[in-house]
Amino acid sequence: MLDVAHEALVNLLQPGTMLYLCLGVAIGTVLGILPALGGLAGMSMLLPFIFGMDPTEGLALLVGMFAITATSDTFPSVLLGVPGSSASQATVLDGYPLARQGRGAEALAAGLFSSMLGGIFGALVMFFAIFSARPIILAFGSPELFLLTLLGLSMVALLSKGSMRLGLMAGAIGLLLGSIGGAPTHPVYRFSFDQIYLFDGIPLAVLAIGMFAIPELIDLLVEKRSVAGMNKIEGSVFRGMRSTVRNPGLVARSSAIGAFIGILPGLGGSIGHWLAYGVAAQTSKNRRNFGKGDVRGVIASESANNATEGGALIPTLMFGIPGSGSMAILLGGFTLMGLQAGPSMVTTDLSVSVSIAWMLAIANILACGVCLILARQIARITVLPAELFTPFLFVMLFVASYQASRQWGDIIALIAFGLVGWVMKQIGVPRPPLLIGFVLSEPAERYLWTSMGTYGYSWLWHPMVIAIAAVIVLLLWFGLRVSRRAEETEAIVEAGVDGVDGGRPGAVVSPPDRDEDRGRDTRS
Amino acid sequence: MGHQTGGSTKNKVRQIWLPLTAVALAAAACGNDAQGADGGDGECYSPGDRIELIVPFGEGGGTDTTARLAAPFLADLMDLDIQVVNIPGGGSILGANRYVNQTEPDGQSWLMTSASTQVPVIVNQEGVEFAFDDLTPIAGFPLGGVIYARSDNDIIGEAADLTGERQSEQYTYAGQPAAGGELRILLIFEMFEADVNTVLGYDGRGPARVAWEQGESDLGYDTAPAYIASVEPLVEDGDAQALMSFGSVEGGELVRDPQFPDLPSPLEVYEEVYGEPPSGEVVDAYVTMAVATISLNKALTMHADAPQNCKDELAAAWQELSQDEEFLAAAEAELGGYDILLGEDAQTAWDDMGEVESSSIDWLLQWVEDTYDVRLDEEGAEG
Repeated sequence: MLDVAHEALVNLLQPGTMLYLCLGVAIGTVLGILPALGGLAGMSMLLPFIFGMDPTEGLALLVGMFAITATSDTFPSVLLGVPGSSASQATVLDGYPLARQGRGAEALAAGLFSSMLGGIFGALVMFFAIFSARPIILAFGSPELFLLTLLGLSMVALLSKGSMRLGLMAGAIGLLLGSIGGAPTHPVYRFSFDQIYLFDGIPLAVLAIGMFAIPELIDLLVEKRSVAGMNKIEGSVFRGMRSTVRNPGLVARSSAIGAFIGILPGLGGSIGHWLAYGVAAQTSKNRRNFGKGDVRGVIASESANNATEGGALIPTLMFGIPGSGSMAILLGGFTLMGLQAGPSMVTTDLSVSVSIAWMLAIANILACGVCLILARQIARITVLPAELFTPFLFVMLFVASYQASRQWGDIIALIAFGLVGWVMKQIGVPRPPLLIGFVLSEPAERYLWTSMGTYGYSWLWHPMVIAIAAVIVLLLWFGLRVSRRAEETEAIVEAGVDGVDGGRPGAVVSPPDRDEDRGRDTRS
Repeated sequence: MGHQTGGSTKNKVRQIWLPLTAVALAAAACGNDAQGADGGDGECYSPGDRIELIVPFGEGGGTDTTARLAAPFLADLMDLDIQVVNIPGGGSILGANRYVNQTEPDGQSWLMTSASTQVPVIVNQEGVEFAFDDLTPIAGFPLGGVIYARSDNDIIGEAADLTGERQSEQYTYAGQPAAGGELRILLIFEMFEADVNTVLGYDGRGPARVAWEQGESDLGYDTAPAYIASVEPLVEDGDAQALMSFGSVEGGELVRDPQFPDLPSPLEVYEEVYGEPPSGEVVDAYVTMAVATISLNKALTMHADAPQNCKDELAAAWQELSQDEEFLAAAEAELGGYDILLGEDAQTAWDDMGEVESSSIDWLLQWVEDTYDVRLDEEGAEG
């Protein structure tokens, strides 16, 4: 095993290959920093150049590119509240409040450093999984996958932030939105109203940008101020890195969750980081600040999303099942370079798989280095008055949304969800549950249907099903108990100071935020 | 377009003829510089022309990859600048609609279709805004498939066990929703009068194959390249066995798949068990689906009203490409080693899809509705 690893590393350390890896990392970094563009856009851009390339160099370019977007997507998520990719939505929840407290550089550094650790963890998992993942993947049939979607949905209860009814409602609306378009089990289009745009459902990227980014930008403009609301950045890059190092257990746990969800085909990459965030928020000591600017939320989300990439390469390579759009393009790139995904990736083409694991690890380290150097400077955007950069941002968001399916519907959907998201923010309906419901809608329906079709009701007694169900019950019980206790103390200690989207000690709390907080407190 | 009266057509012909002759003479005089604008004998493509090759799917899938494999070879051969343009949406219907209705029929853009584009046209699915007549196939790419089972499966020991006559008990099949290429195997179950628990809800052949490996499904199938990459290693290890192929259509008849000459076609399996070949609407429907999903698994097409010389030039390039060892080797993983259909062959297969009797389609739609509780056509979409 080790000599294979060594040989692959030697092959990789050729100037040409490294050059392409760096090029991939560079492109990935830029695309990740630009809000919402993400890996998919980058992969589509690179694909035309792949044909005829030497496989190692071509792979270095592609892997360098997509491995890195999960690192650099931290920038927009933290600094602007715009999810940098569909796998960094949870980063926004704590990263952006931190940026609003002027601690953008610190949160960024924590996120970047966690990204790197998560990425290396993912590469390690991938390396070992090459030799042993087959039984794991084969152990998770439809019933087990269905239970995992339920585990994800149980996060809704937790992320509801005190207003359980509203949270459950938002989650249910998410599930409904997710059912728009081609049904997973029948060749019918639901709620498509004869619009071809709706045949494929609402793109996740558009929904996420609309829900999170547009409301923040509108509020920034209305309040006529900068993100941080002050003109100097508190906290340092170093302090952020230290936060990550001080939470090794959190990094390991979140990375493991991310990599595990990645390995299982069919759940989709964006669920892993939500789960990791949810588990962190549910089981950490002193979880009161989650959602208001707890750096641990950033660490959990960012280590998970990078680890997911390593895990997700396993089903892509071994079974030819792409876990995401980027992975589908990677598979296309494989064919263009004369490689074929399948069981041969563990036998005759083993060296290819192993070098991909290496590329992943090296690219993660490179990207983290580059991004950390840039972090302090780029974080200064949070002290700029919003009028200066929001026009540019709006353009970027629309371009990025249009990238989702390249139809006019993307623009209309973005505006519609932006307005809905803004209203939800104003009246204090939590938005994360909606996204979780949306993301899990299709897999939940699919796996429930195939479980029933294959096993009738007998699947309920599968040992793994019972085990996951027990985990769900435990997490819910633990989480809700802690949550109730926390709320009791919270009600006494602070009578409406910070809110989910506010949270700026020392800064003047603006009127809309205060109203929103009051509303939530009376409700909970 | 032109159903004009005889007189005016003759006039037009005369009007065009004179300048054309002049152009032809000029061309003869100064080499092959001719600009036969809308005639038929000039050159359609000039060196460096920018061509859009429209793929109605996102980047990375089989159709996209095939287009991207062919593009550089065609570009070299024809001295063109070929850009692959992806227009995904509506399971390839959106891109095909746009190509047919919104691009100029000047031969400067081409469309790559696949089974997912063609089956909805046959069943008159909602959203389809074109007919087969609107497109001319230049090259067709056949792709067959193989049906297989695990070696240790108690129910299915050989292909004959798939039939209602021989099966010992109900078997389970995990697949995708009942549409497109999936209809093939479902029609085989119907033809075989088999008692099958069809669990349709898997997200593509890959996940369905995993379900098969897990034991959730008693049998599975894959197209030739996926079969060779993912299942043949299991067959070689003795863990799986190939049962039959989907067959291949030659001259309207279903025959053995040329890439898998040792495997029987479904019709042969039926005949072996029941002593006579199957007949009736189910067989017609199966052959129709076989043309749309196997003979023309993918096709490179052009507007039907594009200039003839454009079609001819592209067809000539494909003629050459279909003999090009380097291209065939590079494209092996997508094309599976099948002979590319050209000229008459491609056109015949294409026309076969357009000329299916409406009674046959009605039967198919009714059968899908009765068995799987969905309408595939527009009528169903309303209700």
